[in-house]
Amino acid sequence: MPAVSRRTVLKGAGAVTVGAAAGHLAGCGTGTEGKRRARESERAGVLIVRDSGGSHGAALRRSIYAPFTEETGIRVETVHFLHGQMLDQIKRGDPRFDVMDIDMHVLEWFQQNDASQEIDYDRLKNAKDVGIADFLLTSYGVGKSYWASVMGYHADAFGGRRPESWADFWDTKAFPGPRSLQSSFDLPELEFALLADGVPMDKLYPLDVDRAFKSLDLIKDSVRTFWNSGDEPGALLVRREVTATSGWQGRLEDRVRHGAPIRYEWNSARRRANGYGIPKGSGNPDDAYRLIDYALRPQVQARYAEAFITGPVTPAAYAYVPRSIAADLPSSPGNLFVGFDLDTEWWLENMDEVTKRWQEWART
Amino acid sequence: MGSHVVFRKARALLRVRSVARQVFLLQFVIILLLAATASITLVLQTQHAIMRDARQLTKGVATSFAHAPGTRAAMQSADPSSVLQPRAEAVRKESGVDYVVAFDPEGYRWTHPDPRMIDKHIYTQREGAALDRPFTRTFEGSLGLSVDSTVPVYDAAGTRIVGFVAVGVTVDSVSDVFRGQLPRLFALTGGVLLLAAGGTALVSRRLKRQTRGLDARELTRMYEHHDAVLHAVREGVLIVGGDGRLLLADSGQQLLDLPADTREHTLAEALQRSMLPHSLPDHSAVETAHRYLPALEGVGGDWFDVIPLPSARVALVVGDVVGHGLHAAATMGRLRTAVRNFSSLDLPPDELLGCLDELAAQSSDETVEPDGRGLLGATCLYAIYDPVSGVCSVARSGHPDPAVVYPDGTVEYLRVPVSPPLGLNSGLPFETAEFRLAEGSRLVLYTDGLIKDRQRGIDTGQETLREALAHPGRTPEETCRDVDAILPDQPHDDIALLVARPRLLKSSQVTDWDVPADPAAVAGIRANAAQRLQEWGLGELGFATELVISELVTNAVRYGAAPIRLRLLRDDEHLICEVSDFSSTSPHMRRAATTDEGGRGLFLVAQFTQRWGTRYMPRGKVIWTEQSLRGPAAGPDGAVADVLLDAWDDL
Repeated sequence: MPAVSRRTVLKGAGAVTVGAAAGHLAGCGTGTEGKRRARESERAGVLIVRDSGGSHGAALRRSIYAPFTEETGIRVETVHFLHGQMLDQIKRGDPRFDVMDIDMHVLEWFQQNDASQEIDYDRLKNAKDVGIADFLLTSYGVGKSYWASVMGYHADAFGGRRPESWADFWDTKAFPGPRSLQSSFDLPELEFALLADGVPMDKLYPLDVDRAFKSLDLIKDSVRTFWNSGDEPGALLVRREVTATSGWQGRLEDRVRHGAPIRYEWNSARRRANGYGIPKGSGNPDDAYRLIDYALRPQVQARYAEAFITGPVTPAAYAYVPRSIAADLPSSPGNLFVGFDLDTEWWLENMDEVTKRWQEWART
Repeated sequence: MGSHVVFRKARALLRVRSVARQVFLLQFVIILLLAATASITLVLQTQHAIMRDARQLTKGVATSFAHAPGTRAAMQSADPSSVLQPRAEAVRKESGVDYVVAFDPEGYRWTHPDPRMIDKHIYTQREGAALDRPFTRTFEGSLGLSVDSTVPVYDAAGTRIVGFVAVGVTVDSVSDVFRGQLPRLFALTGGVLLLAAGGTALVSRRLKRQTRGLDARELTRMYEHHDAVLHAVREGVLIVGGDGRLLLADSGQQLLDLPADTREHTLAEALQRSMLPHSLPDHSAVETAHRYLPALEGVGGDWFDVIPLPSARVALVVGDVVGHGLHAAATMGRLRTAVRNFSSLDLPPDELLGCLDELAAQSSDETVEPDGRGLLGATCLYAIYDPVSGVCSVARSGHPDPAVVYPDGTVEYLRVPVSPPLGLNSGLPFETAEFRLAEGSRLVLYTDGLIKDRQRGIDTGQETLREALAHPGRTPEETCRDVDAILPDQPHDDIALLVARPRLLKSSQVTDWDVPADPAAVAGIRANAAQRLQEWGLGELGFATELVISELVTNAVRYGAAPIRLRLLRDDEHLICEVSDFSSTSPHMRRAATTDEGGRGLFLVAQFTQRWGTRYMPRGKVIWTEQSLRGPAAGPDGAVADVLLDAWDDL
C-alpha cells in the first residue's frame, strides 16, 4: 500500500466526486439534480458509499463491498468527503452519497444537525437481538466496528526500548526524535496530553482543557507535523520523518502486516466505534439498508476484522475470527483492558470550542 | 357487552359523592400507591443487595484465583488448560459461583464448566455482552441476569497481561427473594386497608353528625352562596329564610376582619351595660332569670326586657341587633327604648312589632351615621303573659322560636308565625300566636347566639338547648344554670337568655260582672265591688275604688257599646279595675272648665289611682286602673278638693 498524503486523499475524494457527477453537469449543485442523480444511481443499481478511503477503504471493498455486489448485483461506488463537506451537501439537499461509513460521534453530530434519516431497525435483521451493544444501535446510526487511536513508533527508533505510555511519548529525552500528532481534522488528542501529564485513565473526563493545552505546549516543539489523514502516521514512520506518532491502529497494523518496521502500543489507546448512517436525501436508501444488514452478518464482520483489524460489534463474529487476528483487535480483552473509551457526549458538547482553540494553538 | 358493564361500573365509581366514600377511595389509592412503592423499593433493595453480594463474591473469587500461586505460570505455559481447568472447576464448586473462566488476552478460553467451550472465544458465549465496559458488570445472559467479575493476570514485570480470570454468578434469585416477601406485603396492605376503612367509617359518622346529612357538594353550595352574599354587600347582610326567620346576619366589619377599636369597644360595652337591665323587676305574673354573654368580638346588640303591663300582665322581650360594637349597642338602646314606649301603649304583640318595624325602617333611612352606617338588621320577640287567663301572646320578627319547658321537663319550641327582621319594611303583617302556659312551666326566650354555632348549625343548636332545658321542676335561675353548661367559652355572637316561670292568679283573686247598659245599674255594681273588696281585706280602698268604678262604668254606659264588663283583680301589689265595652272610642282626660257639667271623670280616676290607661281589643277597649296595695292609699290632695267636690255633682 503506497503512502498517501492528505493532498492525495483530498484529490482522490475530488476525483470520485467529479466522477460521480460527471454525467450530470447540466444541473450540478442543485437539489433537484442531486435527486435525479440519486434516482439514476438507483435505477442503475449503484450504491454510493462514503467511507474514509485509504487502506481502510481498500479493506472495506475487499471484505464487504465486493462480496455484497457479488451476492446482490448492486454495484458500490465510494466517495471520501470530509465531515463538513458531507454536512454541506446534505443541507443543500444534495448528498452525493447514499450511505455513510463514519465515526459514531459524527453520526450523532449529523443527527443533531438534522442531517440523518432515522434508522428503521425492522429492515436490519442482523442488528436485532444478536448482542450488539446498545450504544451502537441508535436512531441515527448502526455501529459497525470498534477502532482505536494508539501510539505508534518506529521499530528501530529507540534502540530496542519500548515507549509504553504517553508520558514516554512526551519524554523526548528518553525517547528522542520528532513526533507527530493528529491535527484537528478529527477530534484533537487532548486525552493523550492529559495522560502524559499524569491524569489517570479513569479520571480523564470531563477533560481539563487548560491542563491539556499546557501539556501540549511541552511537546509542541518536537512535533514536526500534525497528520491529517488515517494513512499519514504510518507513512511518517516509514519515511522516518518522525520516531513516534499517534495513529489509527488499523492503519498502522495494516502497514505492520505489509512488513513496515512499525510498532504500536495498546496501553492508553483511545477507543471509538464506526457505524453506518443514511443521510437525508439519500438517493438509494433501500440498497443502503441492504448493505448495512449485510455488513452486520457475523461472517462478514469477521472477514472485515481480518481485512482491516477492526473490532467486530457482533459477538457471534468471534466464532469466525482467526485466532491470529484476535490479539490485534481493539476489542480483545487484553487490549480492551488497557485502553479507554472516548466520551462522545463530552466531545459533542465541546468539539467546536476545543477545535478552534487547537487550531489557534497549532498556528502559533 | 362486558366492557360496557365495566365502563358503567367505573363511571358509577367516579360518581361517588359521599365525602366518606371519596375519602375512602382516596385512601385506597394512596395505600395502593404505597404498596406499589414498597414493592418497588423491596425489589430494588433486594436487587441492590443481591448485586452487591454478587459483585463482592465474584470479584473475590476471581482475584484469589488470579493471584493464586501457579496461576501466572500456568497461563504462560504451553498448555494452560491442563493446569487451570481442574483448579477452576474446584474453585467453582467450592465457592458456589456459576463459572470460573480463565482466558488468554485475546479472549480464548482456557477453562470453562463445559469443557467443550475451552478454546472458544468468550464473546461468542456472552450474548449482549459485547465488550463495552469491562470488567465487573451485569449482563442478561442465557442463564438470566449475571454478575461477572474479570480480573487480569500480569506478567512478572507487572506490565503485560498474560491472561484473565472471569467469575460469574447468575442472580435469578432476585425474584425468588421478592416472592418470599410478597405475602408479608399483601398482609400489611390488607391490614392498612382495613384500618383505613374503619377510620373512614368513623369519619363518616362524625361528618354526618356535623353536617346533618348534607353532602360535600351541598355544603360547598351553601358556603358559596353565603360567601357570595357576604361579599356582595358593603356594610352587612341579613339572610332571611323562607319562613321569615333570620338565618344569617353579619356586618362588613366582621367580613373584613377589622380590628375592633379599643375605645369604641369600651364605649360600646359601657353603653350596653347601661342599657341592659341589671336586675329584672319582681313581678307577680312571672318569676324570671336571665343571662347575657357578650361575643368574643365585642359587645353586641342583644337585649332582653321584662316590662310590667297593666292588668297584672307582663311583657317579655328579647331582641338582637346585628353586629357588634358601639353602633350595635346604640341601635339596641334605641330599639329597647322604643319597645318600652310602645309597650306603654299596651299594644298587642303584633301591633307592637309593626310599630317597631316601621321605626326601624325609618331609622334606617334617616339616621345614617357619619361613617355611612345606618340601622343594622334586628330581630325581636315580644310576648305578653296574662296571669289571669294563663295565656301568652307572642309575635316575633326574624327571631328564633321560644321554647317552653313543661312542668314534667318536656321541651317544646312554640310555633310562632315568624315575620321578617325589623327594618326591612317588608310590608308583611305581623302575627300573634297565643299559647296557654301551665303553671310551673317555663318560657325560654333567647337570641340566636345561643343556638347558632358555626360548627353545629341552628337545628343542632336547638337540639342541644332542648337537652339542656329538659329538666322538671327547675326555677328560672336553675334553668339558666342548666343552659350555662352549653354556653360556648368564646361565643362568636353575643347571647341573651331570658327564662320566665309564669304564675297564674287564683280564681279568688279575680271577679267580674256583666254590666247592663243602664246608668241605673251603676249603683248595684258599686255595691258588689265594695263587698268583694271587703272579702279581700281591702276595705280601706273601698272609697277610691267605688269612685273609680262609678266613673268608668258610667262612661261606658254613656259613651260605650254593650256588652260592658267590670273586672276586679288583685295580685300581691295591686288592685286592678277594668271596664270593657265594645266601642273603640277612646276616652280622654281633660281639665274641665268650672262651668262644665261633666268631663271630670277621668281626671278623678287619675287622681285616685297609681296608673290608668286604655287597652284596645280586637273589638272594643278596656279602661283600666291600678291601685297600689302597699303604702298609703292614693287620694286627692288639697289642690284637687274642689274638683272632687264638683265631681260628686255628676254622679
